[in-house]
Amino acid sequence: MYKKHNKRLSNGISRRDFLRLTGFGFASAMVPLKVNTHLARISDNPIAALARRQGGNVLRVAFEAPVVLDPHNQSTDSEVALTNAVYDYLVDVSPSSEILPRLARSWEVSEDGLQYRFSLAEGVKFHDGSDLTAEDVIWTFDRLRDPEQSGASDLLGVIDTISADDDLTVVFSLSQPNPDFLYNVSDNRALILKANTEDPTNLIGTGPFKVDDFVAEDRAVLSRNEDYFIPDEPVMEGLTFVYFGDINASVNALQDGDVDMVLRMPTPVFLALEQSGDFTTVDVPTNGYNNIRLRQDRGFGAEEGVWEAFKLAVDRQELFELISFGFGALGKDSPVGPLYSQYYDETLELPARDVESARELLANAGYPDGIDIELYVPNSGDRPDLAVALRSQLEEAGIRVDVKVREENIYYSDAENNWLDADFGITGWGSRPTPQQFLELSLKTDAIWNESHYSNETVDQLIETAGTSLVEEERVEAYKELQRILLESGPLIIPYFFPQFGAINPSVEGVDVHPFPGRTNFRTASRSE
Amino acid sequence: MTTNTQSGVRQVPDSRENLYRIGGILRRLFYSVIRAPLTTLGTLIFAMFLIFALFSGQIAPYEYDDDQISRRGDLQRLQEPECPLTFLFETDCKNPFGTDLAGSDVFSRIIHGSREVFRLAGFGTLVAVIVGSTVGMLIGYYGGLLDEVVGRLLDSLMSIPVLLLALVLIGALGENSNNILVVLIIVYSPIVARVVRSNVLEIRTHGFVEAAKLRGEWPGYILFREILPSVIPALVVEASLRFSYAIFLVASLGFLGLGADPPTPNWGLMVSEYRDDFGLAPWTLNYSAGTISLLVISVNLMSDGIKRIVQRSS
Repeated sequence: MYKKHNKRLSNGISRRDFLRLTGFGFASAMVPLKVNTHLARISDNPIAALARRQGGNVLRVAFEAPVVLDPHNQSTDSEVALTNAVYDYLVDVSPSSEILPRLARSWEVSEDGLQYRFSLAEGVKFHDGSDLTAEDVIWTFDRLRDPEQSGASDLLGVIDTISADDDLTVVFSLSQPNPDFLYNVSDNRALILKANTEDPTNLIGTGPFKVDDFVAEDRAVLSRNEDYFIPDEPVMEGLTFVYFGDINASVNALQDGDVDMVLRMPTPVFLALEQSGDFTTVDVPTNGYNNIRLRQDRGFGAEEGVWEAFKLAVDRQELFELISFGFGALGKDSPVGPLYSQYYDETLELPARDVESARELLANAGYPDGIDIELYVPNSGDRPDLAVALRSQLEEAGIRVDVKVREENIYYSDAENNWLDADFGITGWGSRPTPQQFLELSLKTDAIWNESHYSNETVDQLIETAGTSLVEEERVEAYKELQRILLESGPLIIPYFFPQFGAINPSVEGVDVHPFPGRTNFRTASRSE
Repeated sequence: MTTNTQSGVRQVPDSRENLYRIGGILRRLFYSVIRAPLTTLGTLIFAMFLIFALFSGQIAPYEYDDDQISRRGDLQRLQEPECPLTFLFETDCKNPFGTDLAGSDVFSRIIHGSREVFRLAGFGTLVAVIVGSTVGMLIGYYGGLLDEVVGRLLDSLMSIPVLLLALVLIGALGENSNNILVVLIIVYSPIVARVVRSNVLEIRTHGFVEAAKLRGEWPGYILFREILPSVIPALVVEASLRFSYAIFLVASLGFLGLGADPPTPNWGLMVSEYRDDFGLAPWTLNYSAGTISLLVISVNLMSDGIKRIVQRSS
């Protein structure tokens, strides 16, 4: 019955089909028109399009969601960014690693380097209305020094006693001199809490912004602290952290004008944003690096000449250009990078890549046919790409690498072949304001994060000298000697120091992106009209 | 002895009948495929991928791990696609789908990846179908307590979302590509078993099964020579459907970083690697994701056609 009514036209399509086709044709003709005009409107004036949807006098910054809200135990950028807005440090570290006053407006150091006297700002109030006194600072640092309560206790172990001269003066006495002590006082975790705080996650501090609303995994809405002790700061009325689970989602939000700032992204994403020309893009050099390391206490690393062959087979310049696109700085196998200007030895030259000698060394070690080895890599950042490029380079020298990418939290867990256990691995080290922290944590014989299981008495001695001497020339000499030794025979291959990328809505001004993005100062940010 | 000769006499026309049945189905299948253009298209694309997988070494211009470092001067990073549509006919076209950030040829990686897909999804589906149909036939034929116990066990396995079950299994077994095979088998066997069981429940009431029982045939004979041929049409449909789901599952696991380490040309892993490069090199993501869609669509078109033919013939 149905077929009878469905009469065929002469060309073979039924009437029904014809109608359907015409309708579809009209509809599809309309669609591109509509899309095109819409696109034209946006692309004519992208900034106007973004400004239409911008959030008024509120700065909106994209981050991954924070997990730990106790300032003294936090670690990630988003955690530090939130608490850095709600609390204050005693002293701050600028993007170029200078010590700046914060709650402490001035300080004096005794000649023997054993006593630090800080003068606190006057009229500082906590968000609950109470005054800041020396007692709060003492309570805070006592908590920070307690290994049971804070992860920062290692750094502050050098403190002997903390006392108050008066309500606004705090005196730290050290058991031995430490030329980097001010940097340790400004550790990411050393935020000043109110004395006897029972719940350290209550987000009540002296900081430039007050918390109006915090929704875990979603956003933190903060408003200006009108009583902030630094006059005319913060400039913007509000600061909102918007939390995303994925960098592509936060970049989309930036492009849609839903956030003003994204402060961490893979290099290709940054390059694409830079090419679009719609945003203010910044790349900040950092002291962070990926180290490629082979355990020196067992397996191939313990065999004469094998690690030397690895070092000869790697072309650091090529990795720097291919993986980091030349952003950041070329590495020379030591954590002392060019940003530590006076300690960095710029005269030190990278030995040329020598695949033939590498093969020879392997043959002499008893591996004329090369070796097979597994390389463990966390899945974060550019590390998987670095691993694959390294694999290609090492293969030319007969070192056949089997790349094993692990979820980041598994790589840094207690699981088998974790970062401290695996023979061959690539580990990311975040930027730190002084070289001493890298050296003490990863290269001393008994260091807690000595992932290469390296042990060299001369190196230990030099690290000790660099970390305790009060004579600047001695420190400079020690750091330079360390760089020479590490380049020649050290357990690390550091191909480059990575940059920190940021993309900012062009209407936002006055933000100086910090190598550790969580420490970026948002107080001076403003929006142009 | 008499019973033996009797069954021997009757055996010949019976199995021939089965052969006729299968032959008829295949013939009809062939003609119907020719007649339905979409099914033909799907089948042709599927065949193309099968050829890619079988002869990947001959077809792909480069190895899957050839990059700018290992092929200095020959491969350049971020080469735009040169001849995306005519790659099969142009011999001097070096990077039909362009190159990625490492300088690897995207086309070569996709071709080598098709072997990985057929090895994992194809082989996994095959084993799942064999295991699933065996279990399904057994519990369908015997029924009773066996059906109750094994059937509920399969149901409880099926009640867990496939991807979640796969993640848990990978977590328990460890990350490597052979375990992906195991996962596919565990995840898809119960589904196949259910389909086969429901078919067997109906078929075992037919006269020819009763007759075989009366002849005193042993159960293996009844299951595989009498019942199986009748289940095959449904099984073919189910197998092709499972295969398209398996492609997705393998790609999803690869995307999540399970079961494949770079530079393995696992399509899902490639999509996840190329995600960040989309702004700079959109072709890398477009071609790798497009390839997954193309294969899945072609398998679906094919299985759709087979299903229609099977339904028409029954």
